[in-house]
Amino acid sequence: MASSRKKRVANPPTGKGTKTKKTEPSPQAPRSPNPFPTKALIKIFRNLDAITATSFRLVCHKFEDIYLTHHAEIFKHHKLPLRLETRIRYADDTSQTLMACLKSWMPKHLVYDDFAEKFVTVDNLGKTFLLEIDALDLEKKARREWRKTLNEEKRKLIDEKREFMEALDLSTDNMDFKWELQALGVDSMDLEPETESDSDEEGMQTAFPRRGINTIVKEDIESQEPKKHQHCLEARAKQTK
Amino acid sequence: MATESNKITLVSNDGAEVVVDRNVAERSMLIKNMMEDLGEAAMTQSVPIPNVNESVLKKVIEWCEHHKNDPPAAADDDSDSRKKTTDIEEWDQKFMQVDQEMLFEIILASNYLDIKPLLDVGCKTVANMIKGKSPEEIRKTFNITNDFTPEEEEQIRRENEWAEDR
Repeated sequence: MASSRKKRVANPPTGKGTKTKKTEPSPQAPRSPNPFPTKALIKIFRNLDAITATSFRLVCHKFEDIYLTHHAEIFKHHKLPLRLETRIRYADDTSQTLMACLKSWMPKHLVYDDFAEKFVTVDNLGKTFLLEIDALDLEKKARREWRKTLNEEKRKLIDEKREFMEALDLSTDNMDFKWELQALGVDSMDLEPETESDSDEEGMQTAFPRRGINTIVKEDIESQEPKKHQHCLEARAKQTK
Repeated sequence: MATESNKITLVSNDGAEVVVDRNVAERSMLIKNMMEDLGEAAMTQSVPIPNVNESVLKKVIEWCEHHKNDPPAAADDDSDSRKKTTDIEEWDQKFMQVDQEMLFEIILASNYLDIKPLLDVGCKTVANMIKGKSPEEIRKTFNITNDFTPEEEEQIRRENEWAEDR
């Protein structure tokens, strides 16, 4: 190690001792395409916030390579991949989102979709929103069908009970529906409203819990209904006995 | 060549001689190691600095003069150095108010001469310059050519789920 350093000292450049003589321009002069040594680039990365570091990596292959080698350290305080909505607040009270930073890097045919939180083609702009709306409609429809089925079930049980009481010459004024309520899993034998309003929604969630508009699918509804029917059938069978 | 005791002569790559106190020059780990290797000979012999020109060497020595009494830098603590870039000392901030060309030269020289605190200041200054800039703006700032192909950029977009190009 020492010998190699001595070697460098033992071979001084030509022009030694000429105090003001300028021979050639600095060998550092050409800057393009990349002015930084790797060690400096790593240090620069470490001093950048997550958004600027993301922008910096996209400058050229060399920066990208360093990012790929050191990203775990550079982004140790961040969850990767960074979302476009990620916002950094700077010391001077300005702030920046990754979306704003990368907007000019995106191809011209892509536009930002706020709802999808990503850049999409113009044709697909709003598509995610519409899919969500469709899912919402599907859920409403499912709830409507469920109310309808429940009401049919209630009517049937009420009619059957009335016929049973009348057959035994008993009063039908104050019929006890304890069994039926338990079988149906509801609090009242009053019929559910046919049309849905905002205020109904909350109440319905107790009878038909909402699991998020994305996850509600028709199969879920169908898979629940047979169980309810099964309870009704069992209740009726016991009553008849 | 050194003219007074405890002074050494550095020679830039364009042949200019700069006489400097040994303790100032030894802010550079490269020079410090050279001094140790050369021993007494270093005081009577010029030390060539082949990768740094006169103006940059003088600028670097100016920094070393100002920081000659700073405590030696701790072991490489970069792993925990994610401080805000605004914490550059006021004197250093003024020192770094140079044209971009000189800034790069200082970074390269501090890297070559192994002056870690100066390299840190240079890199923090660059980090401040590009804060919040887009890739294209950074390229323009440093005159860097985009060598990514559109396909490679598309792949990055896809991998990071930033775009749906379908």
